[in-house]
Amino acid sequence: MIKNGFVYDPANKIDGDQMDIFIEGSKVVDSLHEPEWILDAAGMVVMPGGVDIHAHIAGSKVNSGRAMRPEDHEGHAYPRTSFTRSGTGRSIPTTFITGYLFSQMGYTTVIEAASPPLKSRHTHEELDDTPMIDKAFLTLLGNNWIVARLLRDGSMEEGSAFTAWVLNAVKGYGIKIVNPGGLIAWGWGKNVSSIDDRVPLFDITPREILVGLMMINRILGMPHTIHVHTNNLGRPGNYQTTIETIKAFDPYGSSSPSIHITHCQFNSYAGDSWATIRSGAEEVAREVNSREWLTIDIGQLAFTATTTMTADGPFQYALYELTGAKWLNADVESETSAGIVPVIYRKKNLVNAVQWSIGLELALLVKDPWRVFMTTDHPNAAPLTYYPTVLAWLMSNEYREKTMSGKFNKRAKRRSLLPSIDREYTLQEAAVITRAATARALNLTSKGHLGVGADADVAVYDMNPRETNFSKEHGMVRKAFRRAKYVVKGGDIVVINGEVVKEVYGRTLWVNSLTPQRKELAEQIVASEFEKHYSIRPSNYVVQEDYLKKPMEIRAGEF
Amino acid sequence: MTLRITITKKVEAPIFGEMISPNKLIGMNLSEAKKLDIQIGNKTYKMEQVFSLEESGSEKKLVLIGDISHVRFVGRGMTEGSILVEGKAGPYLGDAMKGGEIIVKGDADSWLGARMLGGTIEIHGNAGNFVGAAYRGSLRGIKNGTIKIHGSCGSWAGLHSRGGLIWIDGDAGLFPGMHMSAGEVYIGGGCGEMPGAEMIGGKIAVAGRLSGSVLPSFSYDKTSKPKIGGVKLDKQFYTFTGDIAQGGSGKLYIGVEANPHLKYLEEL
Repeated sequence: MIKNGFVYDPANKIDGDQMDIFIEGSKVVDSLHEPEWILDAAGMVVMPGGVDIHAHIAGSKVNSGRAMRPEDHEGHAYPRTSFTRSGTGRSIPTTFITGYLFSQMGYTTVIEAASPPLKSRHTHEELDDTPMIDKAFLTLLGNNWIVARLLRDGSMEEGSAFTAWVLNAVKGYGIKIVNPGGLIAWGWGKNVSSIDDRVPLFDITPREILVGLMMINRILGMPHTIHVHTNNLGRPGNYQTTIETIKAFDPYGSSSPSIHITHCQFNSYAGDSWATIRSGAEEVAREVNSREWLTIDIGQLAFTATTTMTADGPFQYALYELTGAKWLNADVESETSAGIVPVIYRKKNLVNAVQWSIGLELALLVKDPWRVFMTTDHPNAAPLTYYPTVLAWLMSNEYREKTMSGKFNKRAKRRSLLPSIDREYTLQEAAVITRAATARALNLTSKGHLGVGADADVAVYDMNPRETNFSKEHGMVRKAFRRAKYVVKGGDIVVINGEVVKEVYGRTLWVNSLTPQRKELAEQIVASEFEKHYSIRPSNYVVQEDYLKKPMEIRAGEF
Repeated sequence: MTLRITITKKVEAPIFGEMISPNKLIGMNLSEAKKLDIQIGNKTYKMEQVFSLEESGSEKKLVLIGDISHVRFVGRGMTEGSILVEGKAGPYLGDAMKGGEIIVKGDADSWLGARMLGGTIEIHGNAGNFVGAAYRGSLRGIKNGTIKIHGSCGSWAGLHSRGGLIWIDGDAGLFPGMHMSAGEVYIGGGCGEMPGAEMIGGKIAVAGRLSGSVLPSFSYDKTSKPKIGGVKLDKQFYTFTGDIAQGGSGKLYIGVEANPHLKYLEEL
């Protein structure tokens, strides 16, 4: 039982009411006769456990990032304690430390944002090794050769069947699209520059891939929309590509979400060169505000050293050319590319300062917090440990102004829209963008809220909303969100005073949309196509459910 | 205050001695210093369980006595004062130091003055690999300051050097000055293969015998008497520019007298 806390549960319209939360087993219940334990949350904030919709925490690129950056581990060693295992890392912590850090901040569910189907076994192995959180991953399909061929041929039934087969085979949660078509082109050292470019070899456009996979997503009844990293990411002027991408879905818009555009900060640049870069956040936010069926996450940047990693191989190459830093490039046969480049984001750098401003502008200009989510695209725009800092920026105009002083690039400040924005997020809105809305976008019906039947994933933060001026006391906001007073995961008390006191392992969620009819059709496609494009056999491609430590199957259409 | 620190415990595991720095110990109450935690392998001890500490003199100086070859990170990040090592020093001596002086009467281990930012280090014996180098994976080697080695050193001296001076009276191993962008490396003796590989700036002078030849991605200019560390060298050196494979314009000088196998260059 969590007693007397100020509860922020936006999904159930509870906004700071002082009340008790009752937990029995791994679920929230409406009352208890004799609580097994009582946590006194008087004068503190109680929220559902955080749900991160987009972070890179497991899989081959994350592990390659760890290997290529020993300097990221130096000075960041975490010794073993009586409750936790040892590990290292700052921007790309090792698996155990990743789990502990999320848990210490009150996060209980995290979605790995991009796994190539072929590398999914590795992704599962690392997710299984990551304690404290429920997890899932999104499966890269926007540059899959077989999918591209089926979409080009207009074979939606076959496309749906094959997609369902792949997701079932790799135990993925949803469809991720990265630079649609661009990564196929990267196999020939090329890229696409608009959503209507023709993709080499396949004679298909990014628009057709996007719309086709959105239709397949609907046909399969997936819980999450397609999750899109747009074309031209990280290039000046790319806000127009983002808007074109959004408009491509206008003919298919509905009252329910159809598309999620991820780390939108990286996709909202105006200007025509790095020297003239400015914010396109206002234009992008306007488009978001006018469409009920669209959600975004911000991918907020912080001024720090970090590691960029994405399936967008051509973008990573461009970043390597810009920075001269180390670069890793990879090709996953017939599926995707990937790249890794370390970066340092600096306040005094024009581009970095503009990027910082854009992320916050997006969050503050999109009116409905249920459709804009807080992320840093961990570790791309900032390591996960910066989440509390981002919340403090959103909740305090004063803190934003403070950040924009001193070494902050003067030209970037003149170009920033932030001085004209007074909005400050409330605690309730902070709860929306970090758990309630993300859980809803993922259709995780038992997460992101504290109603009866919800998973007993709860975070208690040591700040009194009745006595704290969050606008002024941004230091307290950062401190409280960085180290939760208590965290309950699946009914177990796992964090006390910001320290992990119990190691637990969460479930791996995956979505099954493979009906017998789709299976039969997909196996015909696999039989004829797989040998042509892959160096491994289909039987070795499939990750069996019993390979996963704690799998949780979700039937598509039944959530 | 001068603090004499004598190692009393015999151990084989590494001792993490980053607190053995004038910045941390000078000015600290002696009894307080004795109670500082020090890590040996995976166990934590108190300083007094590992060292005897004794005050003498008024200089801002630490004197380390005995075999401290297991003690790593001595003088890490120091900004002032001096350290005198009477015997053999351990790895990472003067790691990221910003100022002050370290003198070692015996040998030093690897990573001597790694990513150094200022100050001086003088080694009367030999040093190991990675003198003035960047930490593994990092691109930030020595930026400022001077490392002088009277003996020889191992491979990768000056890896990712960005400034400063590394002066080696004896021989050096493989790849001296690899990836360097600025700074100077002088090798009085010979060196292993590929000096200056992928360098884009700075100067490397090898007075003694070069093992093998200069990388083909260096262009030969002429012979000259270069200036290193403010000193004009009194010998003729073959002068190269490179590494062209990296678009570099670093200078590599190889002693004429000790390298007759490069004489063909004079006829080009």
